[in-house]
Amino acid sequence: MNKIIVKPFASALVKHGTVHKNVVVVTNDLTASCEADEFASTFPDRFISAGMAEQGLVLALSGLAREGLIPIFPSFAVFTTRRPYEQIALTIAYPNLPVRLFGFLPGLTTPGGVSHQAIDDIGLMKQLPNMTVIEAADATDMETVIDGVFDMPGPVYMRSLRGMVPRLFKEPFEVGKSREIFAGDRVLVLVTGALTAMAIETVESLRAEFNDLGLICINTLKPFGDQALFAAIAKAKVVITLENHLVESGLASATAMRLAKFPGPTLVTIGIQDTFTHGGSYEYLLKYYAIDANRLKKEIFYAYGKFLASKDDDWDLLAKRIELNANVAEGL
Amino acid sequence: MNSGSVASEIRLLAAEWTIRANGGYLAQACGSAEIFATLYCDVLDLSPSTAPLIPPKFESVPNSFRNEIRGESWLGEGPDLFVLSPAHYGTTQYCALVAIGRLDKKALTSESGDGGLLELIAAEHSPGIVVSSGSLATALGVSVGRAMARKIKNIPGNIWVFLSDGELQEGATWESLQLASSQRLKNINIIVDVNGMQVDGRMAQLMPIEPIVDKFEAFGWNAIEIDGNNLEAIRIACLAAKNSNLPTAIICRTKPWLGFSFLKNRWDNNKLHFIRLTEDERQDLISEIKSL
Ligand SMILES: Cc1ncc(C[n+]2csc(CCOP(=O)(O)OP(=O)(O)O)c2C)c(N)n1
Ligand SMILES: [Mg+2]
Repeated sequence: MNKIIVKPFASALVKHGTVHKNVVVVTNDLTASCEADEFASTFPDRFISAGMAEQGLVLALSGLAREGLIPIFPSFAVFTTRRPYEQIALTIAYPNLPVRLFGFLPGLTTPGGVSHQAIDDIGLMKQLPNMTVIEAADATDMETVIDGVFDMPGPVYMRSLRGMVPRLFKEPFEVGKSREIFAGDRVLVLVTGALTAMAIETVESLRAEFNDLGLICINTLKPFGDQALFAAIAKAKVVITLENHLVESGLASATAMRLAKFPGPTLVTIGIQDTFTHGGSYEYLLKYYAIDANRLKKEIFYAYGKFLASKDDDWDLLAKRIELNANVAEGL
Repeated sequence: MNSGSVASEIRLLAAEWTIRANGGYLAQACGSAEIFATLYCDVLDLSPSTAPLIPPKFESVPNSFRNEIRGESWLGEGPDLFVLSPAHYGTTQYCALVAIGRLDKKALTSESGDGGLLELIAAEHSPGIVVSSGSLATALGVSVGRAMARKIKNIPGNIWVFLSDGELQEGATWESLQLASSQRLKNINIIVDVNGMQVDGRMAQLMPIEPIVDKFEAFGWNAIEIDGNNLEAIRIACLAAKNSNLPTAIICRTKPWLGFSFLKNRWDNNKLHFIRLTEDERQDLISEIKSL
């Protein structure tokens, strides 16, 4: 079992604020929900409660940055990115300001339904010139990402995890550096974010059967790829991307762009396929939208030219009680 | 139907939901029970529900292949329309629909899990929900559009929009208010649940929104301020709204802790927005329900 870290971002934010006196945190009424409560009580002078008013809030981030501060806005990813989109594009991305946007509740990790599930946040941010886009996969990422991007002169969007977060990695986060988890050059699985723990478990369980099955975790979606990643992709026969996001604009699309320029392996994309989504438990939604471990296993078997017999079993998940997210105050 | 008993029923059902689900938006139901009860019993002119008492299972999100049931069907076909804007009040709406007989009580249990339409943050396939507006300050603007359409098409009836006070912090709310008054709409009214709180705690401390009445008036609206837990006051204000020549906002001062004693402690500690019961609170709530 992976070690679970409680609220890894909360303490990282306080440490960051202790070292860097020009950092300010601004929230839209989701302070404790986005683990900024410890920062708020430690540095009340550098904390701004801007109310539930995201568009004006983002414009203010631009102003704060233009005066030489480094503003951090942690919110639910839908409210970080979708609601104030134009304000981010024109007043943060365009002038290339050092603003740090954090988006929690990625993809289907929340039971909150269509309004709370950020299935397009990576895409929205990735298509903005000047924006760097990162997705955290574990507690180490959440502890180290804020320091890791400190020197970057432009804006950064970080798709984030909160509450009880597993520790998968020892090495601190580094912008642009992919994490090779299993080397293997025939079938290569690329994963981002919260699905990484599941991908590790699944790939590990199949490595006895397929010893050239590889797994790489990608935490920088833009700019996409380092030399190690490109080399691994070039060697592979099949690349399988696994993401908790629309395939049209997330990891699959970034990989497809790479492959269009440097053709080679076949691409198999696991993720949300051009549909809005509905509310439910994480386990149920992953299964419903076919991005669960079963699907990954099947695609790996297919990639090796084999068929995985599995009775399409556990639809008894249906109608089971939704487990409210037990790790966080408001259950979302 | 008697609005007093409907209000009590809403509180009870919402409390049972919270116990069962090990969490819920109970304070929202407790603060607004009288508003929902009065609207349904004494104000809204609604034809019978066209939806089943037990909702069908989730089919799909809106797309071109499927014709997913619309939450609006539970409100019938007019002439009035009731639009709930803050989608986290969904539980309150479901409980109200049960209390007035438009939804089977069993649905609160059987349809609130995976694959059921009674989502925690309501969407527009959820019973009684007209717009998916979990991103707050969304439904008012859509309702203004519908009110303008009904004016153009000469369709009778009023659109009543329920807002939370947190939604008054969003710019979109004020854009929609200015559009409605500039269009001189008489067929839209707003009820605001001013419970004084938002996720982080008290609005007055976090981001004050007062003076609400003056602000509505400055935006060209008729504003009436009342005790939002007083059934008679709500009924009279709604009547005045119907007869007004201006779009009217009824500013309801409510007490979100009303009904169960542990809620008051939560209010004092600024932890009322979402209730995850501690073991003590759970026991207290269960025994209070039994003694009702
Ligand atoms: C646009 C948007 N921003 C943020 C949120 C997160 N959120 C959900 S409820 C809420 C509080 C809003 O205040 P109110 O509706 O008055 O809350 P309550 O009285 O129920 O505590 C917030 C900030 C949201 N749903 N939508
Ligand atoms: Mg409120």
